[in-house]
Amino acid sequence: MSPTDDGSEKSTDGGTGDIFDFEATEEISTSQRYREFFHEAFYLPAREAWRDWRMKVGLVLIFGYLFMGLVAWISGSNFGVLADVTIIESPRSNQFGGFEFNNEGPFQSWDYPLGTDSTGRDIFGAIVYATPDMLKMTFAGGVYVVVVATVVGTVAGYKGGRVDSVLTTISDIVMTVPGLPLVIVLATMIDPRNPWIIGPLLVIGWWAGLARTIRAQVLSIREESYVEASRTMGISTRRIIQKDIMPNLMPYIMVNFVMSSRQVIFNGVGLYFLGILAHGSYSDNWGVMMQFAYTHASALLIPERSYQLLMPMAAIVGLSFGLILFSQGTDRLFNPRVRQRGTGSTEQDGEEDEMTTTIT
Amino acid sequence: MNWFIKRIGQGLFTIFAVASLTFVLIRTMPGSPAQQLAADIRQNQPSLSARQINVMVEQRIGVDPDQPMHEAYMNYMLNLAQGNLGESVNYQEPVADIILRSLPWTAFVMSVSLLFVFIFGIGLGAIMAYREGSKFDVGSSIIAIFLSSVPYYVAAVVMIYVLALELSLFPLSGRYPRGVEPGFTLEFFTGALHHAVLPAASFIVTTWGGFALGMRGNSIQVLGNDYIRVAKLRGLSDRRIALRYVGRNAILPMWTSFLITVGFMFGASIILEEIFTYRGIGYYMFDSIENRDYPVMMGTFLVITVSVVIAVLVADITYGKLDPRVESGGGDESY
Amino acid sequence: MVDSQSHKKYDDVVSRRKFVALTGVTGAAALAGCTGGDDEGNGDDGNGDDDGNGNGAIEADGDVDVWFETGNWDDPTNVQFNPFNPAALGGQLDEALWEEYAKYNLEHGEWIPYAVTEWDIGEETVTFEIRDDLVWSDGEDVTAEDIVVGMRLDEYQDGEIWDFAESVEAVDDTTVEITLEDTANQEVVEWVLLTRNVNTPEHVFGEYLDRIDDGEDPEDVMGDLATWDDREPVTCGPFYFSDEESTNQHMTAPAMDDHPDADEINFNGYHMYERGSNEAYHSSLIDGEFDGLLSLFVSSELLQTFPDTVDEIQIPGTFGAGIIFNHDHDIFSEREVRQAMAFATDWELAAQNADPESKQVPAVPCGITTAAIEDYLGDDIDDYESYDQDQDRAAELLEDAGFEQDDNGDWVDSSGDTISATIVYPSGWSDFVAAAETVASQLNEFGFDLELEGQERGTLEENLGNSDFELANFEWNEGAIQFNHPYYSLRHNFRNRQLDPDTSFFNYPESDTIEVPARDGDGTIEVDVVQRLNDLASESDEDEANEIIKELAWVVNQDMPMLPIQSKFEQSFLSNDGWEYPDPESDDMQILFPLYWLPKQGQLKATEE
Repeated sequence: MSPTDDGSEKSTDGGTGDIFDFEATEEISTSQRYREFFHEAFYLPAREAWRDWRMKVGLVLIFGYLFMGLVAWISGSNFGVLADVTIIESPRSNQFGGFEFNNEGPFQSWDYPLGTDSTGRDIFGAIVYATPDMLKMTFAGGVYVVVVATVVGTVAGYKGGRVDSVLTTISDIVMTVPGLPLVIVLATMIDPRNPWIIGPLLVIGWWAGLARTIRAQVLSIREESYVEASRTMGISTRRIIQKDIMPNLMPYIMVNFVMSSRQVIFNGVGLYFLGILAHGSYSDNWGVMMQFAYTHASALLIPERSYQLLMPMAAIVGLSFGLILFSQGTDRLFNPRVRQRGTGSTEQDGEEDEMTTTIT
Repeated sequence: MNWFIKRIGQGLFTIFAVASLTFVLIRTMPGSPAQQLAADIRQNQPSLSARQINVMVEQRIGVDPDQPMHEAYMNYMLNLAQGNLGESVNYQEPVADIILRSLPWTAFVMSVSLLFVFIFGIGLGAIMAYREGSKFDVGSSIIAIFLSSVPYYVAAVVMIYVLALELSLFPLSGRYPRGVEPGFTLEFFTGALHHAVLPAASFIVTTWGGFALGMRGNSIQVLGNDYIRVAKLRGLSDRRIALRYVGRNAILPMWTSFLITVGFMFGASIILEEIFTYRGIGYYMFDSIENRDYPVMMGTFLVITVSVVIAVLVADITYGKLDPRVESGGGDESY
Repeated sequence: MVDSQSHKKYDDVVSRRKFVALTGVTGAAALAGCTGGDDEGNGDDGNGDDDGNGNGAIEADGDVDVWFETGNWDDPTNVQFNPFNPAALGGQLDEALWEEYAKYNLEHGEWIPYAVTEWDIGEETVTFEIRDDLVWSDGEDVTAEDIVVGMRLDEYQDGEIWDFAESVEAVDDTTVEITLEDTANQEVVEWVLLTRNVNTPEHVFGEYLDRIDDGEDPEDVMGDLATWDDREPVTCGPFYFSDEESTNQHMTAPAMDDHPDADEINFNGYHMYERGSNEAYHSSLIDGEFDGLLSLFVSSELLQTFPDTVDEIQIPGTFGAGIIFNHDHDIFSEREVRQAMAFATDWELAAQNADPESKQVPAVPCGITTAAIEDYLGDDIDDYESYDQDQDRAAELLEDAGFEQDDNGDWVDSSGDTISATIVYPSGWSDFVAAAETVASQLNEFGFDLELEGQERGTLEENLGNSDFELANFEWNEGAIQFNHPYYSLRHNFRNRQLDPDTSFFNYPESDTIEVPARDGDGTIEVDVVQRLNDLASESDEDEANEIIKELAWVVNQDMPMLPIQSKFEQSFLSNDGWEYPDPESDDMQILFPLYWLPKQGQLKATEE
């Protein structure tokens, strides 16, 4: 129900230390430091990661969905100039004319490349129009997990003592609360409509596993000599966390961000499909499209209509495939052995995190 | 030993906290059992007029006037302490009975699923690691990643379409064949297995990939370790190295997550059992949420929580036992 | 699939055990039924292979050893049959277990006497005769006293009959007399009275009435009664419920030998299986697992995938999707806006999107069920507005109401606000969803700003009941059979008590008179609709009553309390594979529901292949 990162300790121990070893000892101007930080923390790794095919495919897929979201946002926007720009028509019943345009199969016309549903709505358009909310939800869920976990984990690990034991106990409890049942109860109770709220709700307890990992990491990094040095030099706790500890935690944070995002997709679409999350129209979510195809169009029983179910399903699988590939690709960034060998075929912690989060 | 007691205490506290939390949450849900029942009857019992249904429902449900929340809470917790889960509003039978007749089915499907996820995940992962870089490895990795991106309910829908409706290989719904009486007969058992295939397969197909990739990663790392090289130099047989050193050390880190999968599976069972009309605990939980049957909601929620608490506890304890490097005192770091 | 040999052995064991349990209850028929049932179980677990329909053996008395396999919406382990307890009430089996007073043929528009053989509705009293050969399943005779007990208990559940009745008593063993409070409309009383079932044996329910008569608080007594689950009902229909023979998978209703018409039934009885979803019921019909089904929405395309052996019987239903306005809303309380919305939308298209075959659009929206409109309006139907799509007319009406169309084509009021609202709808009901989507799409095209919001049925009813909505896509009439009569459907429009016992959930004004143009086009008329409804209920003269119906229908037609955009057909199914029944198109089939009614008439027989 919540992510666990067993074995993660060993894989990061000394894993990323090489990037940051030199940094702590020098006094540099702020802007220079940020530039350097950016260069070291993002540019180099990104260049490195791009060599991995999984990263490429993953990023292409993710950007594809972002582009779809943008198209839908521009088309639906009432914002100044954008109000007049409509790239894709918002799907509505009988949008291509009368009854005879209902249940048109895919790949027949550029007007409705993926076909129309049983009330004549453009399936491609509906998939595109469902994308922005899906992305918002996904992003919100990922950010929520990462932020809460990082705050709880670093504070617990760094402060220690009573704060630590209270936070750890809370994390333990949250980890044990059955995830999906709780989400269902909360979804019925709150009846959320806003994607920025739905996202975090769908992964409400997910921060606990990551928080524990981060706490363990912080505990071990704390003992590292350079952190010890910073502390004796009288640098503030906040600065130490920010400068010395956070960079070491990035691999976990990245992977967990991606994995909780994927969980948002899974849970969200599932709950829309079952009708637990309330929806308005067809193009609200891919899960709603599936539900319509399943119940109204009987797409399971009428073989000629199975495309109405398959198309939104493909959209879901595509996005989560992209996310997983992306997270698999990141292990090039964080895993020293992979980088040394440069073959790109060996994975360690990325996969382990993948493993432990997939199951949840 | 001290640590052991602490863990059990924590488990009990977790159950208490979850019970309290869910009690409050459930009581603040919109809609009441009466409204759900009335809506249900209006749908299923077209011969009655709405007005009469309202009166009937009031007479049936309205026997117990609304207690204030804190009183209801005290009552519930006291009963719970005595092992009494209360009585279902909708079914008018003890919640414990509902759980007793549904939980074994969920446990059945879950054990079958877990077994196969474990076999496929560990087995394929290990083979992939040994043949790192081969076509088999790359191909399996891609398949594993792809299947991990398929939600289990999507897999369920696809399997219903292909295996149940088009090919008629497996039943669409239910727990065992009609006409067969439950009992210790071969016929009943094979029938039940036949019905469990699709729900279990939906889960296995979408979950083994994560385990395989994890196993592969762990094994490769272990294979690169010095002690394996030493073992090879010592002339130990490959088989022995594979089982004694690599297998064990690669599986160990996955042990906890494997048991924690139990918690996730309970969650998944809500959606899967609904899709397959498989009357396990997930089915009744969904049913109780729809009917606002508070006692059943509480009961199923608690049973799932207790199962997860036990699973985590077992994971922690056995982890300490399996991995000699971990002192029992440090067991809580195994997450 | 397990080979059949092991099955046979298993069957033997079960049969013998069951036989022991059942002897003494029903004798030979039960034994026959029992083995038959287990034979059925053999090959069928959803695989779609033959379910043994055809292989029923002929028995000595000419009966065929076969069960009628069908579906049921309730969990078989949970279903109960106390008619005063609403939870898990045995739904469709009602029709097989109890005898209905009479049946209404929707095609002929007339009553067919059944358990009640004669009735007379007078100015002050209603008397009726109960068939004298009926017996309860425990051997007692069915008497007028049983009827009286049921009706009297019904008073404490606000039963419809007590809208008219003052008291009820048994005159002799078979005659019941109801004293009326006031003169009553004969048709309305017929609908209320004759749709009742003989389902309250005095020796079972009498004790509750005695407790009330002894001065106990009726609320306590009815609370006890409403929470009593009856798994062993004492029934009087041609079938009885057997708890012993029911399993986790199905309910079993074997034929009752003591029933006077037992000879008409040549099969063992019913097995009723629950399925989890409409999709699962569909596939059970497709695979031939079911020999019939009471009612199920099947779209016409899906129907084409059904095997030829399955016959669909369409019977007009009382309702369908409608647009309900909250009459407290600033905009939708205006008649012009409501009319404009009717003119702006294409109801035919909405019906086609929902399903072209099983949905129809009322000829004129007037608060009368689609099937009955012509019966009651007759030639005057042309006077009524049909609201065929006419967007110019809609635009005129909106302009009359003070709206104007802005540059984007949106309708705005004098302060520049668009007509924006949310339409709530029951999210699980796929045909309603399609209607809601279509209407919303069309209105948005026309320049409204409407959003859809699906809600779980229970939540939706709660919100509607609290009048917490703007527009709703909801049924425009109730489904109970008496709502076929205009009195009920008109009352549903004007004085709705569906979701709130005290007020109309959509706030239609009840205290004021409604002013509408006169039907002959000359000036306006004012109608006190509540008063006129009461007049209709107590009008004993048929012609007078019809005039009132026309008048009230006219008010609905002009004022549009709600938009009845479509009506559904009940879709009932029977399989001709192993079964004989009249032509599905024939009038005999227009009685709800053929599945259970036909056997009572000896018109559904198992064939002896």
